[in-house]
Amino acid sequence: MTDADQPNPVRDADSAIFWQGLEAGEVRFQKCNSCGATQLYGRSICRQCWSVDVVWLASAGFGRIYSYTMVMQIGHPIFRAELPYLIGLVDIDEGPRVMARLVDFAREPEMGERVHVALRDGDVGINTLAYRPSQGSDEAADPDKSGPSVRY
Amino acid sequence: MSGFEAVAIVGAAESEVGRLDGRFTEFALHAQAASLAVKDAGLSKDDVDGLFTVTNDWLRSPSQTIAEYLGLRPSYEDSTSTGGSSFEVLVEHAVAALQAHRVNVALITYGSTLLSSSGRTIGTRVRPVSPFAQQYEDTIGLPLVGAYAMAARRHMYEYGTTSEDLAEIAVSARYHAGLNPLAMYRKPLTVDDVLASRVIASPLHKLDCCVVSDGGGAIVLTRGDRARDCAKAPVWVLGSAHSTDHQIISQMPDLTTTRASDTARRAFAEAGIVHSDVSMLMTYDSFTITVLLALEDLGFCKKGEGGKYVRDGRIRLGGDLPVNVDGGGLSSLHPGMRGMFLLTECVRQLRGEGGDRQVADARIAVAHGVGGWLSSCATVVLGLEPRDD
Repeated sequence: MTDADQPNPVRDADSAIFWQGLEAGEVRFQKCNSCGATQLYGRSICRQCWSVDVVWLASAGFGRIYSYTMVMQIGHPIFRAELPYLIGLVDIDEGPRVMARLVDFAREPEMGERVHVALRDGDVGINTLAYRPSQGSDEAADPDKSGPSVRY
Repeated sequence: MSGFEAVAIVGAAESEVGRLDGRFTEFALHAQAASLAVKDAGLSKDDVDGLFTVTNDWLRSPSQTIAEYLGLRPSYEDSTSTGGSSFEVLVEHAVAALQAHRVNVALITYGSTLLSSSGRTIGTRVRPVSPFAQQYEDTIGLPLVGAYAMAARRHMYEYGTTSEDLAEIAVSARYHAGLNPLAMYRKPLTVDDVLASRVIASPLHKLDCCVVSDGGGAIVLTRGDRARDCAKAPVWVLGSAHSTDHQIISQMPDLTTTRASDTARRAFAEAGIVHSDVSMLMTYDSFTITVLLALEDLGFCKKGEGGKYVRDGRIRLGGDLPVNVDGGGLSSLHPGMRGMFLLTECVRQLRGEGGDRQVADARIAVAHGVGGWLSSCATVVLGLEPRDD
């Protein structure tokens, strides 16, 4: 990979549904029908019990900040124009942890802060998962309820 | 404890290291180090029948290429690459192959021109090491240092660790570098100097991050009888262990805890040692947080108490546990994968060849490699006497 190459999503049998989800405005995750574990990134099997009976579900869109960093320096030229930017690890309510940009933070994020997904178009066509501070106007979500299931 | 034959390191050497300005290719550095290490052992190239090696590019298996470049015809090869910890893993593999009599003389090599090729602060490039890092983290714009930064922040959040605590680790490494004529950066640092250096990925500053170097190294291992006939006193491999529970940082179960607790338990048990037996520790220092987590997880202090442990000179020469007495990756040498130099420095110290930075009465040394994104942990215990099996 050269400096000119941009890191792009790869749509394959394990991941296509996830990337389609972002394009449709939702964060999808997998749930195992055998043991109940949830997971991301998408796999052909449950990483907990190796069952192949895993389904994709849609997240209600909420999570909490597990950790974050403000990136001040990056080697890849594609991202330099955006410096500095916040990256976070977000524990989504439904269980899995994702890496995402943290956006619309006018101040330092708080550890454990509640966030809501805020999908953004990358200027260079990279679909970027992002979360913003959760607002009062966001619908209160029941963590046990997920959106329509898509059979994987 | 295992009933297997004793194995020792009988040769160890570094190539030219530091800022090499493109004068050598990475393969030339493998060759320099291999040649010096085999000579150090009093052996010859024709004695080598097992080759264990990696390059900075994880996705290739370079043992074929390195064997060809070196004019070797190995009957056993291994290019298991786990990043910086690869060499500790390869020691474990070489020991097993030697004990199984599938190899008689094992050569482990490394060489890298990372500085000549790139020259950036390490960990700020987005590199395709894992296809899942590429899809789910590189697309977000995560530099390698960002993963370690988030681990540091989580540790600060859960345990109250401070930037000053992390800075102590950098200050201590720089103190040791002052005693090492080959270290890249030798001017003493204070905690304030570290905190004043620019932030690379918060909360890590530039001086929380390792240097970028060129350099190579090699070690030679063989079984006991042959080891005793080699040029220098053998350095015995008393125990080794490797463990992993994730590769990419977003898949790490707990950013404050690495698998070092598992590897230390197994390696120390195999070696028949306890923590108070350890004369010195060479532990991977890609970033200051890497050292702090290792000190806790290896069991030198309790989880969460790493910040307190590194204060008051405890990890300096003369302290309870001298750590990274060559100056570490933080101040001395880091060509991309540092695990080889943890081993060569342990050998040097156990042989009493440490010069101004000699650890007094060094008898048991631990080399602990950490590779990837706090992913691969590999611990090797070395000593002046073989195990009493």
